[in-house]
Amino acid sequence: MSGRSESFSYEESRREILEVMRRLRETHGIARAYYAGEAIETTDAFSDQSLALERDIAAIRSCSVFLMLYPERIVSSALVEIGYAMAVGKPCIVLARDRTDLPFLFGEAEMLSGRAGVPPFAVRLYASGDDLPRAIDEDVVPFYRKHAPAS
Amino acid sequence: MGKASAGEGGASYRREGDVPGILDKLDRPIRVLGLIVLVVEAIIGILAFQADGTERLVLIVLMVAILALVIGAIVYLEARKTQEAEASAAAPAGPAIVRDIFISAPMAAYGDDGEVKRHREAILKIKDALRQCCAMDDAFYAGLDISASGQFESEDIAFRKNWKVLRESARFVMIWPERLPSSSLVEAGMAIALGKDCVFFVRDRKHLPFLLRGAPGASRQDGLPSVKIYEYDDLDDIVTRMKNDGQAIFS
Repeated sequence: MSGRSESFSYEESRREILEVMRRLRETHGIARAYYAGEAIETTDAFSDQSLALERDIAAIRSCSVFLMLYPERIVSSALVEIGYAMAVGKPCIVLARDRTDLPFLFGEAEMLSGRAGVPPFAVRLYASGDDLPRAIDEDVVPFYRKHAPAS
Repeated sequence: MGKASAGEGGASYRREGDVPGILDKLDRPIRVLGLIVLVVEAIIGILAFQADGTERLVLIVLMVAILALVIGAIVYLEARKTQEAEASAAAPAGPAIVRDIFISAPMAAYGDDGEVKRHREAILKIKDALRQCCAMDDAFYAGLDISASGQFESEDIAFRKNWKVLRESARFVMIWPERLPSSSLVEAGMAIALGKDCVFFVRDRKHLPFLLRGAPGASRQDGLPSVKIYEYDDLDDIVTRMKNDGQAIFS
């Protein structure tokens, strides 16, 4: 979230993610979606780092499925968060624009998805922000329906 | 940790009976609820004292009902907490800790083979320092498995092995020379989730993702392990620190 490059601003990324949230909630009825930046409009409004970690960890522990948006190769807290999510056994799906942007370990996790103690793990590609709704409908929501425990 | 101690320090100059002193004590929902119940009970008690006949009876019944409700809620919550604790105690134990430390350092994120090899050699020196200075004989570093030609293992084998070893390791150390979107960050997240005490060696702590920068302040709270961050200029600085401080770098 905070690791955005100059070419892809926090505000731009947040707009994309909010659109994803809206689609999950309004089109697919997945109401309880959490995004740490939902109420943080600019990077100036970032909260205390320790508090942010505690809050994010609590959210990961209580979620059914972890979705990571990775629009470009960047050092981001999302990489730490997905490691945490995998270790506590959450099914993870990654939406990336280019598979080669992703850390080596993601390819490994995808090969072992659902085996050897690795939770379900999938990487899917999207072309641009305009392609995100399709990726949500065709990739993320089916993954969610398959792996989220029935409530 | 830092926040809690600041709060305690701030409260120390206040007297117990002062309003600010009382407000300081209301740091948990249960305490606020307790105060609200007391105030409500007191108001109903005063009204009951002033009332007559049926009104007084209704007010007394109301007081008793509120008390019963609160006691019932507390008993229910305590019972649920006990059940959760028993369930967690009955959960299967994780793998036995058979290794001293897991070393994570970016490898695949480097563009150039020469750079990978130079970095790998430096990490091996650190591995030696861990053995000699910190009594950590059984340190795992995935870079040892890179063949002479610089090729990585097949992906699924590497992950399976790293995942198992990380779970079996007592501690986690990450060497982070520059801003690289590497698997090491994912491993750091895993190590924190698995409760491994972590040390991150970084050139500049601002290079770390936002969440990891906050980990030392959050550590030991909410079940988080101890996390320490040390800055270094040169990889030899890490070896020097290990020689000087030994195991103390982890505590």
